[in-house]
Amino acid sequence: MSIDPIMLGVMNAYFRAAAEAAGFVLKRSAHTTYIKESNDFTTSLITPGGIQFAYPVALAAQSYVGIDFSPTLRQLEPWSPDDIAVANCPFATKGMSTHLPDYHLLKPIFAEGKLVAFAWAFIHSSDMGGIVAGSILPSAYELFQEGIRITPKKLYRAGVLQEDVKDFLLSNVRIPDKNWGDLNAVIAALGTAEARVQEAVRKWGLAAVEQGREALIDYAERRARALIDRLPNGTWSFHDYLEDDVVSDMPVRVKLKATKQSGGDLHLDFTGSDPQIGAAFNLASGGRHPFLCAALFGLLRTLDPTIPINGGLIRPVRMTAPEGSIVNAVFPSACGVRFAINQLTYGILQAIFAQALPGIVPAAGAGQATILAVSIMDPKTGRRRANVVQPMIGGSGGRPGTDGIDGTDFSLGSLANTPTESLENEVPILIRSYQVVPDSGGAGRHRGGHALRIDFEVFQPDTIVTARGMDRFRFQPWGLNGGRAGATGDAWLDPETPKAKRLGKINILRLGVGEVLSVRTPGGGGYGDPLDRPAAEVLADVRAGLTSPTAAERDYGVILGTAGIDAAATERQRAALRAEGQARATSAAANWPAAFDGGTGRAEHERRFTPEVSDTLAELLFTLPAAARYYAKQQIYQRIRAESAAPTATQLRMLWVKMLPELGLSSG
Amino acid sequence: MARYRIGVDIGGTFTDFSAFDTETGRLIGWKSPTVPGNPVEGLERGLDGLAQAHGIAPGAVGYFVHGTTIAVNTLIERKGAKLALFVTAGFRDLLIIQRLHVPRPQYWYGGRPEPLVPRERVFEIAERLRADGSVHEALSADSVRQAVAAARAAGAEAIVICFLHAFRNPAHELAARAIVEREAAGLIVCCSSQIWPRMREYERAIVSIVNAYVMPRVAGYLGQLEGRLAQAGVPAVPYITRSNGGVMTARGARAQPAETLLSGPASGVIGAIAVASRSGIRDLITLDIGGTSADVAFVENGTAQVSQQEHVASFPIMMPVIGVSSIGAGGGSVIVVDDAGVLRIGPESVGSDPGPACYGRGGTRAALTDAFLVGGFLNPQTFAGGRVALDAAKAGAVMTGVASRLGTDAAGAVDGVLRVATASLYAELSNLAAARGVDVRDYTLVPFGGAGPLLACRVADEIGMTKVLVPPSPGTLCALGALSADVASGFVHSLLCPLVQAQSALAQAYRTLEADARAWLAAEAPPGVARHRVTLAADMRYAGQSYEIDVPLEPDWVMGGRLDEIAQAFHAMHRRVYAHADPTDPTELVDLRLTIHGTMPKPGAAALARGSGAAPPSGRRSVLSGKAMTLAPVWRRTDMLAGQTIAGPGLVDQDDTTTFVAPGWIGTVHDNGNLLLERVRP
Repeated sequence: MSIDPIMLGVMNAYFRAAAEAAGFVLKRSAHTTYIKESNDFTTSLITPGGIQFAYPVALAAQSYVGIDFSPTLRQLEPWSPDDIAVANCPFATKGMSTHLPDYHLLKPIFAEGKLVAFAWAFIHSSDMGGIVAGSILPSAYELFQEGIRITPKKLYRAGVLQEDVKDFLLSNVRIPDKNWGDLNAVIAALGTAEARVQEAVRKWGLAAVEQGREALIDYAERRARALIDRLPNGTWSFHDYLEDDVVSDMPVRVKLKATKQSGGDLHLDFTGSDPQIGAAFNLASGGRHPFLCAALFGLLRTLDPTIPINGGLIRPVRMTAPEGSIVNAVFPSACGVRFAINQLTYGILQAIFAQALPGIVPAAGAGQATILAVSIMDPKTGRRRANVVQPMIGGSGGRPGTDGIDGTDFSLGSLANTPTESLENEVPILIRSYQVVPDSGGAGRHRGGHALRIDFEVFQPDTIVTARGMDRFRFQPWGLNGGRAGATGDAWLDPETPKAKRLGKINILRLGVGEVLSVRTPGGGGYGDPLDRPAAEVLADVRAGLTSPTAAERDYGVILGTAGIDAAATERQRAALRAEGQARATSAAANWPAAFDGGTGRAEHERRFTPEVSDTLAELLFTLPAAARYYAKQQIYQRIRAESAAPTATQLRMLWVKMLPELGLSSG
Repeated sequence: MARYRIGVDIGGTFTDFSAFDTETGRLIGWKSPTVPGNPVEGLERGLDGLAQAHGIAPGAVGYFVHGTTIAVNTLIERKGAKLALFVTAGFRDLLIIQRLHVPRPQYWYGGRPEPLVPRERVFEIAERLRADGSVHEALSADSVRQAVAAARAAGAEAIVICFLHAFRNPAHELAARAIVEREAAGLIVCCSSQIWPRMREYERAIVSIVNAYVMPRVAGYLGQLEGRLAQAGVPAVPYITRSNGGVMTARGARAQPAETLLSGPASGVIGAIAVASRSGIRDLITLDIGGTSADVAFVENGTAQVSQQEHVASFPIMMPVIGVSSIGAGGGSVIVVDDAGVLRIGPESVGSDPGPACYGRGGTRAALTDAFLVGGFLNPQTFAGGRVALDAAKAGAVMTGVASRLGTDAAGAVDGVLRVATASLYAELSNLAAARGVDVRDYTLVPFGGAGPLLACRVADEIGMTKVLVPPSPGTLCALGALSADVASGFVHSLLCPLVQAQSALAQAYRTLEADARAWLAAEAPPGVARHRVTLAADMRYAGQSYEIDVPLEPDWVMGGRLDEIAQAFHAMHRRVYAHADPTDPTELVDLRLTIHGTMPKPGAAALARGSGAAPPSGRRSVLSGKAMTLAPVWRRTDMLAGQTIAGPGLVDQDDTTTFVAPGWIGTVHDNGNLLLERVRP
């Protein structure tokens, strides 16, 4: 029998609900904050072949659609009813897990004696052991520092808890009781999913469920291909950077060439991206991973909000991600902050879609998320307690038809803040201000979302501040189609006082009593020519205090008099700016397609590290063994910086050939 | 004189009346078309109709209660007052940042709701309290005066004040308010510490802002209502339903109009509880399927589940209300066949204008109601009491379109629509149950609204429920709910301290709340409300958690300082809500809440005449059962006698709805008029 379209609609609702019910059970009975408050977990139903056929939409993390489970499933065969597997290692699971703090659990679902599906769930645990509480340290340079490594194994065999496995899991973490509580919540959730699938088999029969689960994936794939087919056939390229890798000031470059062919085929080629690094930003993608095409899911869900969500969505995508690169790191590189690469590639693919589908795609958002945290010492006991102050993200890009969102971006738009009142009740600090930063959204017909600013004063001695994930202090979020790049982020000590000191990026900072730290995020890029923004909208922004009169004049060409807009002066100013802008556009560096404004910081970097230099460098570095590339990159960077100007490709090759024997390296 | 008690619910299409005759014990249901843009007009016509058809003289109306949608519509249509907001310096963007997240982050064109007060009318005031309520920086009177001048210059009609930590110490807000009143006499001022003083500045500000925003229009409407009732000779003071399921006077509603936002859905739940209790049913799930959506609520042991996290127009309403969740499509929801040939219902709706194709008002898109009609579920003669003529040909045409896209016939298309609609309702309802840890098999489904009884058996079959209770007048249940509601109001006091330190503060808070509550009741209750009761609850959490749970408390525990019992109640509740508890962990008391209920007389149900055996059908109609049309018995609800039984498949027609009794279900008529359907085979 084949599944008719009505049954497909019914099964789509039923299995999505099953995945969501598991999610609600998990969230309800979990113990720790990441799960209950930040929704850092998800659930799914998986085919025996290892593809998700149902995914929760109403709750849970949305970035995990399209993971390939088959490598993990195969390793643990044979499966028996009531087995439950556990794993967290990104390398051993080929990208099912993406960093060690995530526990992934799998349970086979049998009906009428046959394996019909797997239930899967992951949770971000508040601690997985390792070098720091919480396990994530940006400067970690090896996986082994980031916590206990769990290669796929069975926690339950045929319903029997493997006590030795449990003991091994829990004796290596800082909060064993809480983790065990959370794992039990996951186990309950897997049971819910299992019962729902078995119920479906009772209702519709084994054959119908087996056909239905595959048909749902085909259905999602069909819808995705139809949407991708709105792109013309062609090839587009883009590159962008993490500004640095925390342990050095070297940017990390990701390059992407995308090719779309008839039938909705999309090929993403990351060749030319930088090698993996000696810090925790590596993505262990296994060569193909949803984290590398997150913007595609954004595009699909924007073009068709009712599209079914399952592993079929990633089927139209083929990927080439060189082994040992930042987007396909090899064992045992550190991966704790791999989400930075997810965000970076989100922006890069977004830029590719912007070229392929003009008029649909927003400008770049902040492209970073800083988790601002304090560790405060109780002066009486000396004991320290750590708290997150706020997630600091930054504005989204301006959009065709509307301005960007203030203070958050699409890839992290589900993240909530903490009310200042709750925060101050928990943590002995005083928030001086928490507001948007005027003039920070990139100018545009539709301006970028504004940056956020938080200023707080500390009351306890030796308060330690960490700010994991800070980026875009130099390289601005790009503007699109004439829109300007958004503002960079910034950090100050005692701002707007005589003692004010600009801090730049914060890795770790110690504050004394009465000191005030001010952190500002980047703003989103603008969309469309700011000179086309109606003067009335600019005036409204000036009246709201979001745009200064200076910026109105400089960026938008709007001159305000005492009674509002000075129409004649505005017309003159706009004409002058248009003429100037055309001159500027023709003289701009051609490193990026003309539709993008990358701002000054990136242009400055690319004066020396031209795309040609970076491409050649990537090619040369990849002739070395994976483990040697990062060291070689550090060394060649110093040499390039010591040159009087940007080297040509030939000069760079000569530098390279000279350098290798000095370092005792040889290319393979 | 005061012979009749009347409850009214104003819907988009109809104004429903439920009139209780205290002399005969008879309950009269009545429907009258709503007059768009002038609800009082429609209400007056309905009263005329009741007078003519049932001889209810306006002068004999001793109690008049009604639900108003003015507040919610003002908010949704954004037609409220021009406000200014005063905030603590440094927090001007409270309304822009909100809680940071956006409702649909995957959607590139989405965003947070537009603030109700634009940034140019948000003013920063120099003042600061610390988390414990102590003064960090004194209030600057100058900065208030400057803000008042600027707010007036900007044309503000009302000023809302929300300062950080004002829920702990209202002094700065009150001082600022005094300055505003001096500087700008006559301007409305709302303080966040006075409306609903709970922690969380954004949510608290929103409650106050929404209150001030809707206040002028609600006041205008209520003034008009009072005038027209007086003119018509109704001696009763009008009462207004509120989101907590209680009622208050029109005067009370003028001061706290935000309390009426969710009163419509709440009244339905109160009505369902009232009718179910007559049949001894206390654990129920209500299913209200109207024109635009299907809504459910969970009722346990006769008490509706309270929520403090509802949203209206995407704004959080942090006050305790009866929790009602939308789970999907209503009668106006559009039937879509997508490019891949797959069927979906909604989320778009044809609304009531033009409405489904069968309304014959120019609608060309197939809606759920069209499928019901083509499937034989509706009686075109009696739909909405015969006040809306249904055009079967138009419904047939749009459903044929759906059928051809699906590659099936009309019956196949209706079957598909019903299966998909049911699957969607199942999906959402099962998730709500999972999120609450509820086993739905222990509950009775109580359907109402125009289409609830049509789909109830199917939904019950799908989710594994075995009992469905159809009220006597499912179409006017909200009006009956209004008539059954008590005078009730909630009060909150923030404590925010470890439970072990709460002993004296708790007793003090209780005394304050109780005094406030009694004073309120004395002013609000009609003469003759003899009894009242007080319920207490606390919002509690484990130290370090950032979310609270609602724990019912006994007054004795609070007054007697029996902290152990409070702790045990919390651990037990935590276990129920989250499936685990840690009795050794320290607990925190965040708020104490007190609700006072002045008991109002409840309309009873006149006993039906008794009959026995199978109820004789009044006729037969071709109806979709399974995948084909079959001739099924049709019973007239008004003909059915207590004790009679019916068996599915079949239809029960009545003026305000049709009940579909699915195959495998039997029905029994109760003395009180309820129809209990039970599944006899799986």
